[in-house]
Order: sequence, then C-alpha cells, then structure tokens
Amino acid sequence: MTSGDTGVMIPFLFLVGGAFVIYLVARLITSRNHWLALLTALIFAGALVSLLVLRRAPGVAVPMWGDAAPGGVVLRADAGAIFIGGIALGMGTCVAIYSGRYLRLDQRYKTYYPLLLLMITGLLGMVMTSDLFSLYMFCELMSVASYVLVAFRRRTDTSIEAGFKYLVMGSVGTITLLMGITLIYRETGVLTLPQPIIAPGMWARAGLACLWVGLGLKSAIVPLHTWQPDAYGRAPGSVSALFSGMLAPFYVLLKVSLALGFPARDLGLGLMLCGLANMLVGNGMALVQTHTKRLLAYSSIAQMGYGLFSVGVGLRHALPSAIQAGFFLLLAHAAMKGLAFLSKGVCNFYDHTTQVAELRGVFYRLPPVALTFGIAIMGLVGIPPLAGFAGKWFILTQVWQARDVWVYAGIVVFLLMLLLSLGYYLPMLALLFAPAPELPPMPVKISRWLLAPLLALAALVLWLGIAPGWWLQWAGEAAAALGVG
Amino acid sequence: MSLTTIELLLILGSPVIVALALLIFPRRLRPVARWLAAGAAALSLAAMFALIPALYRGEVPAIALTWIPAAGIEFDLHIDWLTLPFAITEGAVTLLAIFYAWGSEADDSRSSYFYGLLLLFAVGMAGTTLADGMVLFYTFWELMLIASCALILAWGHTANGGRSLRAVTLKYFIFTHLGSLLVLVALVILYDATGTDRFSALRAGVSLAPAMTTTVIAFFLVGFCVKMAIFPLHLWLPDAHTVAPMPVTIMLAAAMLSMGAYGVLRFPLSIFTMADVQPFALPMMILGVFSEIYGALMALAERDIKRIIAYSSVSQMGYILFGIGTLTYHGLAGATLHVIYHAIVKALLFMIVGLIIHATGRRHIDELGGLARRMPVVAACALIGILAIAGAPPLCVFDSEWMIFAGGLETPYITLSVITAFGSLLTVVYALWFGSRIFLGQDPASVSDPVPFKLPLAMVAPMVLLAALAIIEGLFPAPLFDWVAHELPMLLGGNW
Amino acid sequence: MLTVWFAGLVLLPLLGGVTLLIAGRRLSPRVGRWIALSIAGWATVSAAVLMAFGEQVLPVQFTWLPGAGAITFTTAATGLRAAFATAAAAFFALLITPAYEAPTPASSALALLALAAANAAFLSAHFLGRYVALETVGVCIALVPLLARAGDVGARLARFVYLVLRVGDTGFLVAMLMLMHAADTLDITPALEAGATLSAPRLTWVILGFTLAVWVKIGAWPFGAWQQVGESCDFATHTWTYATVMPNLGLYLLYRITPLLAWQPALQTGILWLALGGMVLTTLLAWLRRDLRPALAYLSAAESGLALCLAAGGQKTLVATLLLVMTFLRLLFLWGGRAVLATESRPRARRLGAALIGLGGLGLTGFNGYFLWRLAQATVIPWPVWGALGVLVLLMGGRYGAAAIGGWAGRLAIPWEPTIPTQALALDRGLNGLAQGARAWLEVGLLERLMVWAPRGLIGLAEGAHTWFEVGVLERLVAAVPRVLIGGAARLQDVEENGLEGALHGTTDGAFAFSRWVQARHTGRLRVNLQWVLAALVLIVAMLVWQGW
Repeated sequence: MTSGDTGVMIPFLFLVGGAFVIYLVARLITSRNHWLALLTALIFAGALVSLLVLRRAPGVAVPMWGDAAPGGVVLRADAGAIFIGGIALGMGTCVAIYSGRYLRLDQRYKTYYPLLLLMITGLLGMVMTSDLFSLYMFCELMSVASYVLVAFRRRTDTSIEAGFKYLVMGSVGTITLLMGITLIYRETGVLTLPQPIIAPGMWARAGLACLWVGLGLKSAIVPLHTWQPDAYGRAPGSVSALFSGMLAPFYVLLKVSLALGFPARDLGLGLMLCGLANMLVGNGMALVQTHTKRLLAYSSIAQMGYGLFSVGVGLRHALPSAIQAGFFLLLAHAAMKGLAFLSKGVCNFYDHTTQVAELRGVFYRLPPVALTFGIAIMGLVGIPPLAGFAGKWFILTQVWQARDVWVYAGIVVFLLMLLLSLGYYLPMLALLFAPAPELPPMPVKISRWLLAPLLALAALVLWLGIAPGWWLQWAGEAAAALGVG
Repeated sequence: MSLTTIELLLILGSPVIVALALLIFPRRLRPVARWLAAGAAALSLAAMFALIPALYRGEVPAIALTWIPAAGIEFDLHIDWLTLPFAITEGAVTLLAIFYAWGSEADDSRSSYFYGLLLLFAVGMAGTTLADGMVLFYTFWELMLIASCALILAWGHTANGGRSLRAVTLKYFIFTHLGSLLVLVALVILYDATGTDRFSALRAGVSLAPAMTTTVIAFFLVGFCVKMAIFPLHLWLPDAHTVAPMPVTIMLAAAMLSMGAYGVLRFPLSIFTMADVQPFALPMMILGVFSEIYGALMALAERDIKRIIAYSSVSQMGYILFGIGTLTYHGLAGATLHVIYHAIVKALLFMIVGLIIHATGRRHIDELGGLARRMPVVAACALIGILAIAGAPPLCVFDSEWMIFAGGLETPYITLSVITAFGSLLTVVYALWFGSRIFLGQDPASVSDPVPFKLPLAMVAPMVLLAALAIIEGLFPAPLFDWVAHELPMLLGGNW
Repeated sequence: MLTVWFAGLVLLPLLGGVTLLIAGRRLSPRVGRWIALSIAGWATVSAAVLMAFGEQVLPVQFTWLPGAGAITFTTAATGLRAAFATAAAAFFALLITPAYEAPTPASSALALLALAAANAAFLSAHFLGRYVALETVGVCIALVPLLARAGDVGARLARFVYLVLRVGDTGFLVAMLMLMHAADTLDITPALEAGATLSAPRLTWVILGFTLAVWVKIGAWPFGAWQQVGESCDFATHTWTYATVMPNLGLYLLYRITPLLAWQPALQTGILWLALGGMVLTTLLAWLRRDLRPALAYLSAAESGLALCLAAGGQKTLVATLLLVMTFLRLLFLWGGRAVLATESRPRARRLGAALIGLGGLGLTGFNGYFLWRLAQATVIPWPVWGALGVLVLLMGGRYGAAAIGGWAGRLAIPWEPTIPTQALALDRGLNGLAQGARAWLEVGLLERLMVWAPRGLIGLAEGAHTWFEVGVLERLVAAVPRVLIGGAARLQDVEENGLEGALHGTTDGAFAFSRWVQARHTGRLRVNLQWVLAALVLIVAMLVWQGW
C-alpha cells in the first residue's frame, strides 16, 4: 500500500514521463533539435523545481513516498538526495540547452534526449531510494543509459571502443553491486535501509566489499577508475559535462556503508587513503595527457580525490564541517568541470579541436568561450575568488581541525598535488590566450544555445566563489543527512 | 560615509572601475585608455596621500563588510602606518610606470587590455596592503600574480635564444604559487586558532602551541621570501623581469617584490612576540647576506642589461631581509625605508635600461658603449642612479643602508653585519661597471657623427623625476623617517 | 664672525668648484687655475684666522638624518691645523705648477670641491658629517681620470679609485656605527671615548674598521695603488688631489684613533708588524726601481707605513707632526720629481729639482730620526723593531739622495707611458672571474639544473606510472595463468576432435576470435583494468576480515 508525500514522485514523473513524451514528440511532431532541447530543458527545470520544493528545514520530517511495509520500496527526499539530485538536474538543464546546437554533430535526437532523462532518473532514484534492490534497478537504469550515451558517436572507432570498455567495466561494476546486495540479503534477510549489521559474518563482509567495488567503480575511485578517461574522452562533450555532475554513486556509497552499520571511523580512513591515491594518480596522469578531454577526465579523478579526502577526514574525526566542505568542493567541481567540458565542446564544434595543442588562440576565434574556459581552469587551479578556491579554503580550514599528524601529512600531499596540477592547467590556460598566427583570427559568432549554458555556469562558478554562503549551507544539510558526528 | 572612508574606497575603487571598464569596452575606450589609466592611478595615489592627516590624528581608516558569515570571513579594508609606506610606494610606482608606458608601449588594438591589466596588477598590490582579512589578503595576492602573468605572457619580449614566454610564465607562476601555498597554510592555521579571518583578531593575540608558532612563522617567512626573491628562491625573477614589458618590469621590481617584505612585517612580526621570532633572526640575516652578495655577483656576471638590473633587485632585497632579520629599531626602520628608496632607484634604473633599448635596439652590454654623448640626460640620471644604488651619500639609498648596518651591528652577530657592509662594495662594483660600460668608452656601432637620440618625453620625464626624488629624498629624509617611525610600535610588541 | 671664516673655508671652495665645473670648457685653463689659486689662498687665510679663535663649536649645525643627531663643527686645534696645511698645500701646488702642466678647469673644479669637503671633514665634530665629507672627497678624486681622459681607460681608473676608497670608507662606517651603538651618539669625541666601554670583539672591529680606513687613505702598502692613478695627471692634481688631501685626512683620522689602539694591545702589535712589513717591502721596491716616479711613490708609501708605526706606538702628536711635515715636503719632492723627469724642463730647473729632492730627503730623514727618538723614549716598541725602523729610515733617506744625485747629473729623464695599475687589472679580472664562476657553478649549474630536473623528474615519474598502470606488473603476473590454461585447453582440443566437440569448437573459436578482436582494439588494457577490479575486491575482503567488521 503506497502512501506518503506524493510530491516525492513528481520529479520522477517529470523525468520518466518526459522521456516518453520527448520520444513521441520526436517521432510524431517534430524532430528539430531546438524544440526537443527546449522541451528537455523544461522537463529538467520542472523536475529541479519540484525537487527543491521538497526541501525541509532540519528537524522537520523528510518527505517520503512508498510502501512502508516490509518488502516495499520507499523513496525519501532527504537533504542529501535533494543536494545530489539538484546538482544533476541543474547540470542536466544546462546540457539540454547546450545540446540544442551541439548535437548537430550527431543527429539522432530522438534517442539522445530520452536517454539523458532516463539517466538522470536512474541517478535520482539511486539517491532517494532506501531499498537495496531498487538501488540496483536505478543504478542499472543510469548505467545502461550512460553506456549508450558514451558510445553515441557510433560512427567513430574510438567511440565504440570507449563505449565497449565502459560497458564491460560498468557491467562488472553493477554485477558486483548486485552480488553485494545478494550477499547482504543473505546475511540479514532484509533489503531496506538502514539496517545496521551487529555481528557481521563472512557474507556481510563479502557483500560490503562487493558493494564498495561496484559503487567505487562507478565513482571512479582509484584503482577502479580506469574506465573514466576513455569514457569521458570519447563521449560527446555534453555527455561528459553531465557526467561531471553525477555524484550519486559516491553519495550512495557513503549512505549505504553508514546505513549498514560500518563504523564511520574506518570508512573515513579508507576514503582518506583512496582520496590520496586519487589525487596522486589523477594529477600524475594528467600531466602527460595531450588529448583535452582525457586530461579533464584525469583532472576529475584528482578533484574527486580532494573531495574524498575531506569527507574521509570528516568521517574519521567526526567533523561534519569537513564533510560539508568535501560536498561543497564536489558541487563546485561539478560546475567548473561541466563548464570546462562544455567550453571544450564549443571549440570542437566550430574548430574540431581534440588535442590540447589545438587550443591555441581560442581567444581570438571564440572570445567568450576562452573566457569561460579560462574561468573554469582558474577555478580548478584554485584562484580566488572563484569556486575552486572557496572549496579548497573550506577543506583546508575544516580538515585542519582534526589535529592529527596523518591528516597534516595528507594536507601536505594535498598542497603538493595542487602545485602539481598547475603543470597541466596553466599551459592550457596560456594556450587559450596565446596568439595563433597560422589561423586568421576571425571571431566566430557562437550560437546562443551553446553560449547560454556557458555563461550560466560561469556565473555559478563566480557565485560559488564570491558568495558561497547559501551553497555551503545546502552542502551542510546534505552532510548532516548522513548522520555523522 | 565619512571622507576618510571615501578616500579609502577610492584607493582600490578607482583603478578597479577603470580596469573593468577598459577590459569590458576595449575598442570604445582605446583612444582614452592611457589617460584613464593614468587618471585612475593618480586618483588612487592622491587618496593615499589624503589619508595621511587622518593617520597623524591617530585614526585608522577602515571599511568592514560581512562576506561569508557562516565561515567567519569578512571583507575588511584598512590603512595604518604599516600599510602606508608600501601602499604609497606601489601607487607612485604604478603612476610613473603608466606614464612610462605611454612612451614605451605601442598604441594598438590591445592597448586597453594592457592598461586594464596594469591597473588590475596595481589593484592586486594595493589590495594586499589594504586588506584586513586573510581571505581578502590572499585574493589580492593571487590577483597580483595572475595580472602580472597575463601581462608577461601577452606583451613580453624574449631575447634571442632565451626561453619561450610560456615557459618563463609557467616557471614564474608555479614558483610564486609555491610560496603562496605556504602562506595559505599559515593563514589557515591562524584562522583555525582565532576562528575568524580578521586581522584585528590576530592583533589581539594568538595563542598557539610553541611548535605550531615556529611552523607558522617558518611558513610565512619562506612563502614571503619566495616573493621577495631571496636566494635560493629567486630563480623566477631574472627570466620574468627580463621578458616582461618595461612598465611591468618596473612595477614588478620596484613594488611587487616589496609586498613580500610587507607580508613579513604584517604577519610574523606583528602577530608574534620578540621571543617567538628571535630564533629566526639569524637565518634571516644569513639569507639576507647571501642574497645580497649572490645577487651582486650575478649582476656582475650577466651581459643582458635588463638581467643585470634584475639581479640587482635580488641583491637589494637581501639588504631588506637582513634589516628585518636584525629585529632592531634601526634595522626594521631601515628596511622599510629601503623598500621606498629601492623603489625609486630601481624604477629609475629600469627606465634608463628601457630608454637604452628603445633608442639603440640593443640589450647586450658588449654591444653598448659611449652613449653619454648621444643621451646626455639619460647619462646624467644614470649617474645619479648608479651613485644612489652604490650607497653614496647624500643620495637616498645611503639613508636606509646605514640604518640597516647600524641595526645589524646592534645584534650579537657582528661579523655577519661587517660582511654585509663589505658586501655592499660588490654593489658598488657592478653599479659602476654597468654605468661606465654603457655610457663611457667607445660606441661599438661606431657611428661617424653621433647625434643625440630623440627620446619620447613620456619616458624621459618620469626618469628625471625619479632622479630628482633620489636626490631630494636623500637630502631631506625627515618626513619619510617620521612615517616609518610610526610603524615601529606595531611590530613585535612595540617596545623600542 | 666665525661663520664667515668657516664659509671661506668650506662654502667658497664649494661654490668655486661648482662654477668651474659648469663653466667647464668655456674657460681657459689659465683663468681656471687663477680662480682656483685665489680661492685656495683665501681658504688658507680663513683657516689661519680661525686658528686664532681657539677651540670653539661653530654656530653652524643642521640635522640631516633623523636619529643621527645634529651635525656640528668645531675649531679644534689639530683639525684646524691639518685643514690649514691642506689648504696651503693646495695654494702652493697651484702656484708652483709648471706652465706646461696647468690643470684643466675640470681638474681645478674637482680639486676645489675636494678642498671644501676636506675642510668640512677636518672641522666636523660629528661622525656622519665626516663620513659624508670623506665620501665626497672620494668621489671627487675618482672623477678626475674620468674627466681628464675620456674613454674606456679613464672609466676603469675612476672605478678602481672609487672602489678602493670605498673599501676604506666602509671600514669607517662599520666602526662608526658600532661606536654609535655604544655611545648612543655620533658626536666624535664622546663616541671615541665610549669605545672604552665596548666588549673586546666589538672594540676589535672598531679598531680594524678605522685602521682599514686609515690604511687606504694614507696609501700604505698594499692600498697605495689608487694613488698611482694620479701620476698621469698634471702636477697640481697629482700633488694635491691624489697625494695630499686624502692622505692628510687619513693621517688626521689616525691621529684621532691612536688612543683606541692602546686599548687592544694585540691589535696594536699586529698593526705595527704589518706596517713594518709594508715599509720593508716598499723601501726595497723604491731601491729596486730605477725610475724615479714609482720610487717616489713607494717612498711615500713607506712614510705612511712609518706613520702607522708611530700610531701603534701611541704617539699621536708625532702623527700630527708628520702630517704637517709631509704636506710641505711632498710639494718639494713631487715638484722636484717633475722637474727632473719632464723632458720639457730646462737644465736649471732640473738641477733645482734635484737639489730640492736632496734637501727634502735630508730634512725628512732628520724628522724621521726625531720621530724614532721620541718613539724610543716611550719604550712601547720592542728594540728589534725600532732598530729595523732606523735602518729603513736611513735607506729611505738614501734613496732620496740617490735620486738627487742622479737628477743633478741629468740621467733620469725617461719618456714615460701612463699605465693602468696592475692592481686595478687584477681586481677587475678577479671579480669578473668570481662572478662568472659563481654564475656557471651555482646559478646556471646547480639551481637551474634543479629547476629543469624537478619537472622532468615528475613527468618521468608520471609517464612511468602511466606505463606501469597500463602494461603493468599485475598483468605480467596474472597473464601467466591464462596462458597455461589456454595452452592446456588447446592441447585437449587437439586430442578430442569429433562430433559434438566440433560444435563446441565452433563456439569456443568464435568466442576466442571475438576476444582477440577486442584485444586487438584495446591493446590488453581492458584486461588489466578488470584485473584491478578483482584485485580490489580481494583486497577489500581481506581488509574487512583483518580489521574485524
């Protein structure tokens, strides 16, 4: 018997219903890209608004919908779900508008937009559900949609290869996740969360390990990250941008681990170590990349590492503010990396650039794009007063409170990695504004569809950096929803 | 809003507004870009001078706005006696550099961007001195770096066979950023200890564990020494100064390096007690001496005239660090005065170098000679500049050098101070060598009938002004001494 | 009243020098010389008049550097006498200049400026004032070759002279600042007296600093090379600007610091021996050099060495006397030298010159003997040293005599080419070599290499990690297992080839073919990545078991 706050279902209705509507519209009414894009954007925006409406003050009961009986599925719109979902929906809106022009490169609109919507549906379901099996279902929905999207440019060999690799790795991940769920079920006999396991046996341990591997693979935690550079590198720019905003697997990993009763302290330590590994691998690899999107992908791995580290410290030393800072950084990263991918996509759209060296002189051809790309890169470097600096400042100040010598050592590595990252960010930035004498610099008129999301994200990056108060608070609510400290 | 608040806002506000206008409307404002830039810089400088009477009355003009209350971060600006010498140095150097740029930089489609970025660079420096909160300080600190990098990258000139502009800028950025990160960590520690990022909380006293105090002071010192280009952290300076366009080089050498000194005075020396900072006195003095001698030797070894003066900056910063390291009244006052006097003389020397390159097109000292006949005004100013940097009284640099030496001799480290004093002879050597090689002797180009060069007034006038200042400041140092004397009570507990 | 005469001593030469400098080439050398002559004469008179006033503080004072105190002037006896002697020497030098060696207006101007500054130095009662005045004299002296000989050589000589004089002044500065710290004032007399309160190391540095300054100024060995530069100038400039003004300032300083020497007996002895050694060397060189010009220079250096010995013996009045005596005798020696050596001089002048050298030498030997006798009376100096000094004095006198005899006979006129002193060349080369060496070794060699190695090392590390991840150790370890399995399976297939197995063959073949097709596209990376998944899984389970969840 389903009951509860139907408001919780409205975002899903928007998204799922919207997917079908878009497909029908595309088949029957019009297959013009602009209309479909606009419609998709409206659907995303509607879902976002209806999600934000579900926000409640701390202390007030969280809206739920579903069958509360044992064996039933309940969807809870807690602060964390709204945070992660909101980021993804916001990114989705931008990407939808962007695709209104960008998809000219590959013209299968009627499959593209529904896939976007379904992917985000899966994501939203993942963070809202409190049931393990439906978690798997939503995860699978998200993953399958993403496999197709990564390999969307099916005419190119490299796209297919990347898509295939992602498919195999991702499927391994979801199968492992399913294995984990099965093992947990075998141990506890219950599928709903939270269900703290008091005396875990071998099955529970194996199950949790499988869960971690599955979700860790999806979140690109080292050493399970290897699919990401290929996937990001070969997917269309709009899809890569959207991927940057998909933080659900990581959030779910946290939530499920804590819900299963795994001690926060140990989880924190693991996340700290993984974070350091991510930083090292991501920054180290990015230094030698010549393909722009692969470089940005490795950079994402590194930034994920910063977030992991902060969240890890917060869990280990019971500092909710450190978790808050980590979430804020991931939010900021979503905005900045999304902006970077979209800017890069515009360069590709007009000039067919794929390598970093080909970014030379973008300022003279596509001035606004160079500026937004520059803002994104400067944000990623950590220049005040952009979003990245705010994120790093908050992380440093909160993590410092741990007063633990290992945390200090981690901070040293953190700072060294920040310095190292300059080695690949700065040359890109310099190239953007360097004069390119070979090409006659004739500024190209950029389509509004492409420009609007760029400007919106750039403004967001600036907003996050200059006046992060409200966003920080939102991240804090999400951190508090984890129930730590 | 009182008059002092308006003046305080003007110091940053006028360059920021004009800079943004120039960057947003580059084509429309191109014809007036140079005038706007000069006007903004002049207004900013005038505002600084206008605030001096308020300082004499004992007020501390300040602006306090809330920024991110959740994190305890504030947007506070203020001006006090410690800020004043550095701010005025920066303002004056900017104004003169802009005038110089009228003559040295071509008026083309990128002029608006150039002046805009120059003003942003100036804002970064002014903001660093005016900031009263840690995050704001760091923001302006990074703005200085970014604006100067952009200027070097887009308007720099590489010498033949030198490194590419990108490589130089990358080296400059990463090296300086390393220092900035150390400063950031120290700031984070202080923020954690006080719970807010206001400097007023720092001034009220910070309680840290002794090991933490040492760490914080060490981080601050190393971080700021990178900015001051102290040996061995000076490696970014020669290339960056050499490839940068001349107005930017002037601002880099005369004003930006001093920001490191400001940082040392504002943070470790204002927050902590003498007992906390004492262990660092000898290392600072040793590094200062090393820098002084090493910079002078490198200046002697170089053959590109711009690089010679660039290394001279390394040497002079060594004096300043030595003076600060003595932790005595004379040493600290001498070091601050040296910041101002060094700015005058260094800007003068770089302007002279710029005029030489502009007129002859040559930079290598072996290709220059006998220029006194062809540029008599420049030669006369060069004589003053060289004698000044060699520390000959009654020119300005002597006034600060003797205080630095006196400060050194008041410490127990007499031998070190004697070495410093005799090390200054190396400055005499390279200064005289530089001047006589360029202006005296035979011109290798061997022009049969040497006609005096025609030099743009916009480049010559600031140079003459600086030469006059060097003489005037040398003869009548009392007003500046008075300003600096007011700053001393704010340092190290103020028992002088 | 005092102020007027003080102005005559300091301000008038200053104005005269500036005027001559500005007027420059517009004036003929004759006019320039006469202006300089009259001003020098007036300065002499002013000094004489001031001597009548006795010791007083002049009503001229000003504060220049805040914190340094007011710069004052006094008419203390010895200082005034030294000023009088110096001014008189200027007057006479200009007076007896041979016609063919008239100074240029520029040289006269510099001489006047030096005179003004020197007088200010003699009369100054404040260390800072004295220091600035000494520096100014140094600048004037250094500028002479620059204005006299344009071109590279003049510049090099000027640099060299200025640098050497600055070395001395730096010693002066260091000593002065240490006394300031002890006495809290820069007034000379109290500061010198406060030296007694200094700790031993500080007092040592003070004495060393002042001694260095004196040594350079009076041109004792090895700091006499700067004076050689004057030899290529005209008579007045050589005699006065190079050979009189700075040595007199040095001797006066020596006079003032002689009491300090007594407070550090070890230093006193050291200075004595060093000065003696210098005297021995220079006297020997004077005898070894047949050419009169360098011989006279070495003899003058030897006399300066004697002054140092007198100071080391604590005889400050003797130092003052030596100052006055040498000022006068130097004029004789150098005029005589010019007369004897110049090819333009007439035989009568040559013989007069030789006679003057001889008489002067005789007189100097007499004075030196008197000094030694007074020194012996004080019984501070050990006997062997005194004996050696006696021998040296005789040798010096003998050299003058030899010069006189040779000059009378007309044997000494040799055409002479002015050269750059070897010390200057050595200093140039030495400093340049040091600078280039430091640059090659440290800056370019070590530091730049570090800067290049660091990023290269990082990128190498990154590339190594890249390769390791992609074609990794794990792959090699694990690849062995499938290889064995596949090999074994292939064997079995070879053996069991019929019917149903045929169908199985087809599917297996197909699968392998597909796998190989995929592999060809992925260069084995996918396999590696999946291996990592497995490895991670095993690792986590092991960790959970070990940690105990």
